[in-house]
Amino acid sequence: MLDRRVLNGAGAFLGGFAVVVLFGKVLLPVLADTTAVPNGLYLQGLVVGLLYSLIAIGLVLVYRTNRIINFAQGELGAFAAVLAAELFTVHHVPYVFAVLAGLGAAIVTSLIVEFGIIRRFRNAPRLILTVVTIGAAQILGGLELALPGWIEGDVAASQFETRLQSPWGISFGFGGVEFTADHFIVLVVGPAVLIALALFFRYTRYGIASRAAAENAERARLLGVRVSRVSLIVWGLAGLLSAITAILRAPILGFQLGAIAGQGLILRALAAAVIARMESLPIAVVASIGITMAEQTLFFSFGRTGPVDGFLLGVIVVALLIQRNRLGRVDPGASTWRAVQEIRRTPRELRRLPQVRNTQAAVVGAFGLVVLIVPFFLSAANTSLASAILIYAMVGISLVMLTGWSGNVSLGHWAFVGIGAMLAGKLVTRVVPPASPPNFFLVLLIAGLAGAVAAVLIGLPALRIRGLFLGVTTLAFAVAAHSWILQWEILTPVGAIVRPKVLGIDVTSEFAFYYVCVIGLMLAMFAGRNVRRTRLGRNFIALRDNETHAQAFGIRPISAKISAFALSGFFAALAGGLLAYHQQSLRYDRFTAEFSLAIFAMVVIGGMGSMTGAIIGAVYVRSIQFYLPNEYQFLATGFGMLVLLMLFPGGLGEIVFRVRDRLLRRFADKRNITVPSLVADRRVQEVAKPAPELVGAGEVIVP
Amino acid sequence: MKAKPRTRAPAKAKAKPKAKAKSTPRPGSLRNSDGSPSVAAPSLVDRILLRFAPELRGSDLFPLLILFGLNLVDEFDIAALAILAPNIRDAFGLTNTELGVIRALPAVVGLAIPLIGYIGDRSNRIPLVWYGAIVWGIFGFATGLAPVIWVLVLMRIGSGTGKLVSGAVHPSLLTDYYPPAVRGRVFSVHRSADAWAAIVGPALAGLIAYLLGWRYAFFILAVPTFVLAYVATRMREPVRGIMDDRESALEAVEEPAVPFGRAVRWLYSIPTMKRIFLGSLCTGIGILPFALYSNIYLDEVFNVRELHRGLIASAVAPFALLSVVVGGRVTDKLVRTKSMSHVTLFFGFSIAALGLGLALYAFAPTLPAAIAILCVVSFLSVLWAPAYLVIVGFVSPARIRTLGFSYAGFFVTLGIVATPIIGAIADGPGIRWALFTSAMILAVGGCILATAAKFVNNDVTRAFQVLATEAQLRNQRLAQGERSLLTVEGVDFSYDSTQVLFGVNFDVQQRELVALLGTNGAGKSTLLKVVSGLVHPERGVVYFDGNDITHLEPEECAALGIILMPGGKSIFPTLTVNENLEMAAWLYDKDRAYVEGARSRVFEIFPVLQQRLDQQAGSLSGGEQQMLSLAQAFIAKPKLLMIDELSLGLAPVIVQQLLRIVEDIHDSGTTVVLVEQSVNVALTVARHAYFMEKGEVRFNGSTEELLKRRDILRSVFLEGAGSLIGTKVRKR
Repeated sequence: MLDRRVLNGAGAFLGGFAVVVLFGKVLLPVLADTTAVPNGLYLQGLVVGLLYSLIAIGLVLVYRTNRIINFAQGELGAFAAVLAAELFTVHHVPYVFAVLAGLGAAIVTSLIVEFGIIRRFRNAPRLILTVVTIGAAQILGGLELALPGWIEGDVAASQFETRLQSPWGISFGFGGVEFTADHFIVLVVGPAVLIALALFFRYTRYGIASRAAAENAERARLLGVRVSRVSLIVWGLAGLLSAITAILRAPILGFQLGAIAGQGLILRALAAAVIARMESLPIAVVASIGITMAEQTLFFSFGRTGPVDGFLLGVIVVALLIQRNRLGRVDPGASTWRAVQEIRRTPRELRRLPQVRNTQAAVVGAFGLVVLIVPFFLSAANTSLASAILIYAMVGISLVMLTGWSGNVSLGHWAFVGIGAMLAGKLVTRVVPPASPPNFFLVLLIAGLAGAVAAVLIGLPALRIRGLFLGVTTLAFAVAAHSWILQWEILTPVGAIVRPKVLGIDVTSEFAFYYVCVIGLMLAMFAGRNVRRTRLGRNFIALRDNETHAQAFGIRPISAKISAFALSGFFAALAGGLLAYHQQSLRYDRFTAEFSLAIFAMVVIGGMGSMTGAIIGAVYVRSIQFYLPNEYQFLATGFGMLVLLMLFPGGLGEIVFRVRDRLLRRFADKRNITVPSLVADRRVQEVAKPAPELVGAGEVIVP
Repeated sequence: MKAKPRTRAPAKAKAKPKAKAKSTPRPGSLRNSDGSPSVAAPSLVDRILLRFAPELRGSDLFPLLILFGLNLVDEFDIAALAILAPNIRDAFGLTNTELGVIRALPAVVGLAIPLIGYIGDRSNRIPLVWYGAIVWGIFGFATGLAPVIWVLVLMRIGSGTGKLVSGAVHPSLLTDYYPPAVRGRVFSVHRSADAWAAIVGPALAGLIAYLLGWRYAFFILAVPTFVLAYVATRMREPVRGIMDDRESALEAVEEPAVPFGRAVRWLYSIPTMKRIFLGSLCTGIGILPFALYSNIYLDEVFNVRELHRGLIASAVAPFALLSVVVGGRVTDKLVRTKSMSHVTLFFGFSIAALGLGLALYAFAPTLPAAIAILCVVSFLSVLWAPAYLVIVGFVSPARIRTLGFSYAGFFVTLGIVATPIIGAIADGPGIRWALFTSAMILAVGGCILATAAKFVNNDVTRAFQVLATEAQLRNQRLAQGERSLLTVEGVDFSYDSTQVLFGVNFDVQQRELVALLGTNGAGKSTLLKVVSGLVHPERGVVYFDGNDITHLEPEECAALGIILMPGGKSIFPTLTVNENLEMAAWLYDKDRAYVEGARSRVFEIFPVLQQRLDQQAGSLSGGEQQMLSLAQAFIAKPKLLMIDELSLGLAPVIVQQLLRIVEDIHDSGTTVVLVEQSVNVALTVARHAYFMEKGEVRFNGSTEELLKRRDILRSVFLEGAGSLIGTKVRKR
């Protein structure tokens, strides 16, 4: 049994290696019109692949323990690498000690993250916990940026490139590539760490316990296993692995700094982890080496990272589609992935009460009024900011449709916005000079449709993949979009995007454009409201909650899911079109994958369950970034988000709806109307129960 | 039910003080048994105090005076630092910012306050009081000595100890010294030290500094600290909870202290405390930066210089004194005539009002207006303090009360993390906005605190009950020859919003085999979860083998010998059979000999497991998986084995086979609780049965009795039971 598995693995590895070599030696030179890939690149691929495999293993470990993808995985180590580099270069600490300090710091940081953050969300839905890791990554990223300043004082920190080189001056050439002692270290340390890990998980008490806890934490605790300690160990290991990668990578590939340091980086590891079904450590290692070798040859041939990211997207989609059946067992499914709070409409019994209707009208009217008169009190710059908030709110609503209602996790939503924006920009700037700019509505419509098409294409795997893994696919799309798709000629606007006349009204001023954005948002809200209240929206929710059961009632998942993606993509890209007009000039680098995650976090903060939540989230996240100076933003967004989600897992929207329900209850009580849907979530009142007496033998206490 | 706490508190309040006034030495008393005061308190101060709170007449004022004095000297130290700040700045060549940091330093120690709470709940509190006083006295003294800046920094950090003790241990002691009816005023006297120090401190410190130099101010101010610390050694530790329920408190005094983790979980399980923690965090965020930024505000916006700022501070300080006095009186009056929920509303809304006042202050148009608003703000500033201490004293159970006080203080201190953010707002949009933001957070905090009014009456009743239940169970334990292994008393539990257990009582004797029966959704599995620590009850207690295990975590319960075999999936499918058995032996890691013995015994009973040692457990058949599960339970060697739905989805033949094993385990001395939906399975092995329906225990007795109760069986049970009626029940 075991032998067969080993043989299979070895066979797959050799086969994959042969494919990669063949690919690089024969196919690529033809395709990309370059020389054959030198042999040294394969060794380089092995070295880098070993490094990525450590991150991949960290991802798998955390997934097995917490059933989430840890987006802070890169940051746990990157922080330590910065510390080590600072110690090494600024304070001239010997290499070995600097590295040890870095590793120690990484372990401590991960333990703090696990104990201080992850453990607080032990009972939260996985979706919330995933967003929490994004928040943790933001905080760590902020610290990472601040750390050099603290250590160096006023010395500018700019050249990170080769600052953490090992002091041993070995170097030799192989197959056209120069190798140094740093590569050697990886080749020694990498396998050693992997073997140590394998031994740990197979033979030690805590190793077995970590697997047991991954399977059924409750049962493990009932047997006396200290699962919290196991989790601590796993996170410590994950941080250590991440730090080893970050530190050893520095001299080979250079540093990458900043919050959520390149999801591109985590994506390579994620691709490998997905191939390993988030479960098998050996497969994760082999896969990341294979992926990296392929990546190296691709990069050699094309000279850009764009096609590489496209390739990774393909790898992830294919791997997920092939493994769907096996994943079903691993992934707890989409249902634990949705936000907790389902927002109800006003109960039928109360909907027609004049009191309820008046209150609703008053609240909506008051907010409407505020929205309408706000620009009269703001400067042009702030009006522009307010318009931006409205556009983000539109994006938020499109995400609520897709993830909140339909249950398809999209971690790459900003890319749809990017497609809409870039296409709209291209359409407007196509005519040079813009003698008669194309019709405003036509541009938006085309942008929206393009977004819908893109979303449907990305959504096709969603017919087979659900929950977290769909999120991985969309994230891969976001990375590829940033580094590749959005750089296509057809999507690159040249020059300024001039605001046209809309229905004969000049909207070039920020003041006027604000109202265009208001109308756009209202349109999105109107569409969302109608979707939610009709058959289509009910189908979305039915499929999200229980796909097989919904199918049994004749709901077709294919059409419902495709329409969810199309609708959501349409409004995201529509918002993108507005954004293009709003910004008046655009570059692809605005549409990073990190921002997709930030948008996702924004909507979770507001509340995934309702459009109101999405709008509140947009207002909170976007306005706080202009209210606070730069260095404190990460505290307010990252830290604030953690505190908020700890208290209100349903987001800010939950607070609003709680207040509403309380008011409704009061109205209902006043009129003596019994509303079951309102009472159901109130604690059962203690009504005339027999006083608790001790039960005598054989005595029956049925009244 | 709702009216109960409302009547209860006033009744207590009215009854207690009268009784106390006449009674001769009480256990919580501070005088010697002959009635003479152990230390003669100065009559003048006595008189002043009684003017403040006439109702205190008859109570022993000695501890209040000492604690007030200690609080006062500590506050003096802080006031002195504020007024001497320029001298210190010049002496060490500091910038204003650095000075601000140094002044904020003592708060760092504040984060250690749960530690003090922990110690305070398990040892005599009096030494804590005077040790603490000596420590901060030394640090205060050494502040004056500090030769270099880092020593000064250390000394300031150390001097934070004062706040630690006065924030957690003092209120805990005062709650046990004084009856509920006067606590508001007791706390207002204790808290008025801040205001007194703000009024007198600057002048006194300034005078000493002027005459002798700033270092002498710290030397001289340390003297009364040491004197008071010495006098404090004469205080006597009151019995915990003596003012809540005298008899129970005296009985419960022998109980061991509550372990830290459990105590914290317990505090978190009290809804009022949860709101107070959250509200305190907001209050801390709102109020801590205020002290710092108010000065900057006056400076930047109205160009008020140092000297005048000092004058303004002194001018408004009397309002703070008035504030704390009024706060105490109102609190007492509400406790006496209304209910705790009114006190809580007063508490929350006075903080909210303070927030609104501060918001007004932030946008004061002119300096006179600002000063006028500041007077009002000062009046609101500590209105809440006595009410807050009274509430925490009431809702936290006596034996973890110090921790309760310390945790609430901890959350206030935690608010300091927001100070830089407020500072960033001050640097960005402006100081007015910074103050306004913190004021709004304060107002929100106040509203959150006010929402605790919903729970507080209930929580007060519960806190009282805890003591009574503990004493009662203790008595039962002492009286009974045959001890119950497991006692569940009055357990309530809800999943989010649906209550599933209603006052469940469940008792299992040593070496018994009990069947727990009931329909679907009756709460059987939830009860097992409560016992095994997977979920924690909202109300009620669980005792196992003489220990209170109510808030223990499952792994801790397992270590005590409670093993739950959950229904359905209870193995680790991708681990091998061998690894599954290893997991079961987790608790016996040190005792390999036992594990080996138990394993070989398991292989005797289930030979099939030995054949499949290296196979993944998920590939076993359903019956084999249950065998593995039972084998795990066997190896874990529990004192109490709880089996949830043994028969679920298994063929009758296999069920019979498994039941025999259960009986074997039982015969070897393990107490077993067998949960079943299927009566005929359970009743063939059990002699004693409980029957649950809709979250309540409906029947408790022998299985023969149960079989006679056709009404129960027929109304809720399956036909299977019918066939059993008349068949023989296992006897032993």
